[in-house]
Formats: sequence, C-alpha cells, structure tokens
Amino acid sequence: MAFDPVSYAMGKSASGGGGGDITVEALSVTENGSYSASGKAYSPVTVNVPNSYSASDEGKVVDNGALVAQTSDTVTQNDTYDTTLINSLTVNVSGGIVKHTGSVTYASNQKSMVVTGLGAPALLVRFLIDDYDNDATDGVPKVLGGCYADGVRLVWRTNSSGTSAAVGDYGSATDLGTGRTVQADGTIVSNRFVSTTTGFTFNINHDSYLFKAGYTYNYVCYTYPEEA
Amino acid sequence: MRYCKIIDSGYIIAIGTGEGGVEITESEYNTILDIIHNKPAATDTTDYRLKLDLTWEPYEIDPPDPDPDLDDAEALDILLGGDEA
Repeated sequence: MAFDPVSYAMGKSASGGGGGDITVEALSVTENGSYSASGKAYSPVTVNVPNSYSASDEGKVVDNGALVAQTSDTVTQNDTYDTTLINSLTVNVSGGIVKHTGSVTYASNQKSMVVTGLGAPALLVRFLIDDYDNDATDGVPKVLGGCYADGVRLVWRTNSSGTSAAVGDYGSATDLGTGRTVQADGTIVSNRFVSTTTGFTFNINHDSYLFKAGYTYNYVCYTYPEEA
Repeated sequence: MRYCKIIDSGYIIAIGTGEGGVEITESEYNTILDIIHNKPAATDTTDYRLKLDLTWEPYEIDPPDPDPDLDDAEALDILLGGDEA
C-alpha cells in the first residue's frame, strides 16, 4: 500500500500543566493594546497589529507588528517543527525511511555480529549494507564482509589470508542471492522482515568467517514503514 | 553520537556506536578502544577476555573436538559405559 502525502492544517492548542482540566477561552483582539486575562486560560498578551490594510494583505499574518505572507514547509521525517508563519505542513508519509548507522569493535574474535536499531512495531527493516574494517594498518579499508545493497543483493566476501588487500583481491565471495536479507535470528531469508518489537536486532553469522578482535565494523541499515 | 559497550557474563564483549548495549561516554569508549587495540597476543592455547575493570583475563582455548564425527550409536555406547568407537 502506498502512502500519499498528507497535509495537516496546523493550529494552536492549549493544555493544562497538571492542575486538572482548564477551559480555554478565545481571545478576540480588535485593536492594539495590552491584555491581561486574570483567571482565564490564556496568558497576558500584547497586541501590536498594523492599523491599515490593503487588498493585497489578504491572508497575511502579523509578525512583530508587520504583515507578512504565510509560508509552507515540506517535512520528510518525524520531528517537531516551528510553525511560526507556517500555516500548513506537508508530511510525506511514504518517505519515512530511517537510516541506522553504527559500529562495533569486538574485544575477542566473534562468529557473529550483533546490530541493534531502534524501531517501532510493524516497521519494515530492510538490509544491512556494509561492514568493513576501517582500522587497516595500511590505511586502506578492507571489506571483510558486506551486504551490498542494490536493494536486494547480499554478498559476503572473506579474506582467507587475513592480511591487507584491496577489496577486489578477496578471493572467496559467497553470493547469497538476490531478494535476501538477514533476519533477526541471523537467518538469511527474504529481502525484508517486519519488526514486531520497539526495536530490532540483527545477528549476523557466517560459518567460515570471524569478526576479528580490534577491528571496527561499521554498518548501515534502513527501516521503512511496512507495506500491507 | 551514542557510544555503548556490550557486556556478557561479566566481560566486555564489544564497544560500539549506535543503539544497543550500555551507554558510555566518548572518553570511556576511547579508553576501551585503546585497550582493545593493545590486547595481549593470543597463542594456540590461550586467549584473553576483557574484564569490567578493563584488565585482560587469560583463558584456555577449547581444543578441537578429537572425534567430531561421533554418531548417535557411538555416543549412546559411551553414555552406557561401553568402549568408545
């Protein structure tokens, strides 16, 4: 199911500060002046509105005493946005991809690599795409094992000698095929799985490869809103 | 950036950035990273694991299984006190 952009009309709201329900009253201001609202649910306000208008001012808002045009903004990720002078926000729901990055440095050789990310129920977790040694003594990062993502492709490369070499020199490459990914339990399955918790954990295993102590492995993966 | 360490059974298994593990400061991360990079060299019989006090503890590496192809009948025979095949 595709998500269409959704437009939200933004409005001001008020909430109580822990003292029970309050009644919010509308404040109608028609002329300049200072307004104190003792006992009311709005704070004292000072109003400084322009005193003259023209037809072209239609739809404008007051900013520090001046009439200015409202603007709009496009939002591509979840966050809190200042709506001052913005009368609408466009939220592109279908673009809600979250990138997860991190690194792991093991104290001892490990047969598996654990990658943990924050998420939410029903997030589609798609793909660990990279882990590499960036501590190579020769300054050349070596791809020791990686999931190369053209979206769906997963390839592991192993270095039998354990010495520094260019990426292309790695002799043993195991193509795990297309349309694959690493599931939470380490199983290579399909190109996606759905997180059922508030986060996810990859446990990356490889039968003949050790994640070596002292090496730093970087990773990147993405979560997508799940499709029905 | 969030820094973390991963602890298992009283040992620091790994450090990292990102989610997971126990959050630590960048300073602690760099300290542990330096210690890991200066880990004592392992031998054929001994490796080292990092304790929570950031000292290395030697431990014996398990020798390879001398008879990994023991089948069920042979294993049962051993359990019942018979001779190993």
